[in-house]
Amino acid sequence: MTDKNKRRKKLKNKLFLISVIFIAVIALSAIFAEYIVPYDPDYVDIDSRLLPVGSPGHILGTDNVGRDIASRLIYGARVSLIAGIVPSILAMLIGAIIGLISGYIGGVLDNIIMRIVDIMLAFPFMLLALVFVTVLGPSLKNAVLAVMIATVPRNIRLIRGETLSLKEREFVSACKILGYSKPRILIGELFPNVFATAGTIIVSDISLMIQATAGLSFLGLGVQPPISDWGSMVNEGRAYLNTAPHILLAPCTLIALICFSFAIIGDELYKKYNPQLSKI
Amino acid sequence: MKKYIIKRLISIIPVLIGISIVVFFLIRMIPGDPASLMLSSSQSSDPQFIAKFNAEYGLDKPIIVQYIMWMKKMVTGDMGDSIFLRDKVISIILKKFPVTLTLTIGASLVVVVVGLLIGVFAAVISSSGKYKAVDKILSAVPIAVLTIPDFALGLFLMFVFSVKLNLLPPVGFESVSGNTNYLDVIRHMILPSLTLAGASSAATVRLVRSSVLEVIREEYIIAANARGIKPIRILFGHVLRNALIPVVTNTGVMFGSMLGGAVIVETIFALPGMGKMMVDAILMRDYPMVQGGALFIAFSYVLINLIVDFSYSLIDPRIKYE
Repeated sequence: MTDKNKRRKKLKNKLFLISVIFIAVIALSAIFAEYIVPYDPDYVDIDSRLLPVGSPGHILGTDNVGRDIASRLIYGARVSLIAGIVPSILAMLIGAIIGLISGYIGGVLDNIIMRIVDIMLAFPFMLLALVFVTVLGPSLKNAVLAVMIATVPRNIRLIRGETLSLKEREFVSACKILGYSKPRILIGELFPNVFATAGTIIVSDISLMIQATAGLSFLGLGVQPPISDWGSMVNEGRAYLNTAPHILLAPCTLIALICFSFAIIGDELYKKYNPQLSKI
Repeated sequence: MKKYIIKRLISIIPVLIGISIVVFFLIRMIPGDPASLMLSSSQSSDPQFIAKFNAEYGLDKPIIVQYIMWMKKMVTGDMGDSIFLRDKVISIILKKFPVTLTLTIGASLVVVVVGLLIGVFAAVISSSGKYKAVDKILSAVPIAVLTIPDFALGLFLMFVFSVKLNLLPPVGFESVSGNTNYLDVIRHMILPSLTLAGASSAATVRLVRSSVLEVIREEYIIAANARGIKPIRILFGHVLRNALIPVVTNTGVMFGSMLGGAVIVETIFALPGMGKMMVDAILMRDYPMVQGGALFIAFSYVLINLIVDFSYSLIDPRIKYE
């Protein structure tokens, strides 16, 4: 390894470490929100509305009805983190199960599943999420569900592709000769082997999911008041872009930072499990 | 080639039918029947009126018959009437589509220009082995841009260029005053195009960078260097030409998804396009509008991807179709 590569690797690792720590801090403060927030996130104090960043008692200022922005961000982190992590995992779980079965069993079943996937992938991601939100009705749960459903077809395709190449490998043939049953090969042999790919995709997807659900909340189709996430905070702050930009800049920055952190971790995992790509 | 085109054209028919089935049944899964949605409360409380309404729209027939009737109408362009806008769905769509198309074309231009310029620059810097700090910045910034949500990017650009610097109009497709011309529309399109292009440009920068770096390692580039050809000529004549193939195809795919994914950007900048239309229709529970819009966007998405497929062979003659 050359000196240059070493140094770059060190930088990446540093960034990776910072990302992990940042996410851990956000996650911990979200979990223990009750104990650390200075104010009730929904407490309206009209007298101290639109306070700027750095005001005494309100580090990040207050919004248009005098709610403490820092407290709201911490509580909002709960919603946004769940909205990122839960659908990523569920979408991959469903995608992996269907993809494994479709790829391993093949034949007519595989054909039917892949045609359905083709049709689902013919919708742009956001449109598919929007259509599902329409059907289910706007709420946080449904926004998460919609984003999840919109991701499943892509996961099916990825895991199926992986399964198709694994299926031809010697260890699978060996299992067949040993007389293992199909479910045993699927669960015991193939599943652990797609695990690395699946895990990498889950981490990279968290960033996309946080963006997508925040986007739906921003459009008024996700979280409904009085609950708020970062996306709906941005939406509420839009009217004050001229006079009090900090209301929406704070949640925007936080979304960008957390997504960046997840992306960095995803990138690093991707390189680790796809070493031939990390040369560039 | 001709055989391939015909084969591909036939292969999209089941996909289009599938899309229409998905949209048709999804809209019917929505709780509440169309009669109570479309009729006034006094009318919908009258069972006789509902029966007449259902007979008129064929809602009393089996679901398969309903689908075939609906499909027949869709194919002829009759997508029904919008419940709230009191106009034909197809004519509303045709009014909104040019706005979204203009936005998407603008964004694609940004993606191609920014992606190529910065991507090639980043690759040249990286392969030169000097300016390590610049190289690091150029490989980290695209990831950062990629992770900024489009609404955050849009509001940030609006804040800087419209609110602070007062350079560009914050919202709308054209000035309200009436003196609209192309220049006016372009001025209104700059910020939305940049916003929509944000993530795709960053992705393209990464793609161009890795693609150029890969080509630079090829033996024919080393050979060209050995023959003493000027580096600039190698870059433009040899490297770029080969590095462009994945970029062009990728831009085509991005064009399709930007066309359907402009929802948030159109909402931020109050552009009267397809995306804004869809969100409004969803919030108003205007189902014929949602149905028509979803069908139109999905169909155009499939057609664009088809065109992208065909363009492969034009860019790279080595690609053969079976």
